[in-house]
Amino acid sequence: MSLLSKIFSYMLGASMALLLSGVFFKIHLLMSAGLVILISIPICRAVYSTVWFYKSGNARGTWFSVAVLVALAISMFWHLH
Amino acid sequence: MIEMFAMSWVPLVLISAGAGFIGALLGLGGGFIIVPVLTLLYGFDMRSAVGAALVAVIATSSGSSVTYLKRAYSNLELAAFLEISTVIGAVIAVLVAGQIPPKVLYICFALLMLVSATMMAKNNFNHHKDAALLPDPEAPKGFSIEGSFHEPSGAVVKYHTRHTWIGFGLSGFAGLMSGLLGVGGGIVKVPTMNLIMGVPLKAASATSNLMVGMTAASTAILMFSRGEIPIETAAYIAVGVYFGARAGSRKLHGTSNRNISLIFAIVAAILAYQMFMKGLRL
Repeated sequence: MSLLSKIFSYMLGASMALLLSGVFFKIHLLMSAGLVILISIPICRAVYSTVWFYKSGNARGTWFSVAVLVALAISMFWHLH
Repeated sequence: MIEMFAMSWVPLVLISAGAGFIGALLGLGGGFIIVPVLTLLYGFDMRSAVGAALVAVIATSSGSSVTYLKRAYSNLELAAFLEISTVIGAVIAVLVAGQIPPKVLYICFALLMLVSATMMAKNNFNHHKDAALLPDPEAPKGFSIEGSFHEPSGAVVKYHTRHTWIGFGLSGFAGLMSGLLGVGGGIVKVPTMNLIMGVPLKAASATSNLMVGMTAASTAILMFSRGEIPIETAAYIAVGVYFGARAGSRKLHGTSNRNISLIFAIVAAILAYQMFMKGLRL
């Protein structure tokens, strides 16, 4: 779990660095890149949790995580169409 | 007043930091502060304000999760389990939207919030008798999810969820309300986990933070791809919220369950009033 925390610390760090640079230098591209990384963090976390549950042999957790990912995908597809 | 605020981004960053702090501490995300600030003080339309608020919720969730995962407050298995029904509830909301008068929804939700605020306040005053604040380390019969974390004193708090399927159903209701009224699900999920499922308040708040980020991300991706998120405003908000959320998540560690439930009760009562007035105006 500490690895999960570490990975997202780096992602957050990168996102904040881009956002702060974008805000200071008024560069929209940097702000957008920072926001894209920030928005992707919870989804990456959900995917990583699934792998983590699977590797640690937690079958129930794996199923829950897979169900969440499927439900999120259906929800996004639903909103798109 | 509006011009004065619009001239400077400093108040927005500071307000965002406050929203992140409270959002991380209570597991609410912080969107409930950002939306009225952007619409009333900065003159944003509702759609853009919601887009920026989604970014705030993700920044709160991500900023606080780093600390909560390190301290093991977040219960990943519980979050995944409850998130299933939340997303299903949000999908159902799309189907039933427009069939229930918004006035009825707002007033019903306000009453629910009032009950929730009263129960949380009651917990605050009767905390010694409260089973939710003193978790049962023994596994109950039937389906249950277990978890544990360390208190600042070093004591290990172990808990098992009770009434897990009721919590699943109420989490679905949170998703439904979130989809119908645009309010974050955290305001329903935290009392559900704490008062009904017997999850300690700190773990409930941290787990709710994890969930609201996931739900917000799926909507934010769609809004971002459609260009509905005001980039510059969202960037300022994200920076403010992030630092507020980091501070809030650190504060949670040293704050007593009593104080968290009292702050939660006050925020829930304010939200109930806002919803009630909104319902009456429709």
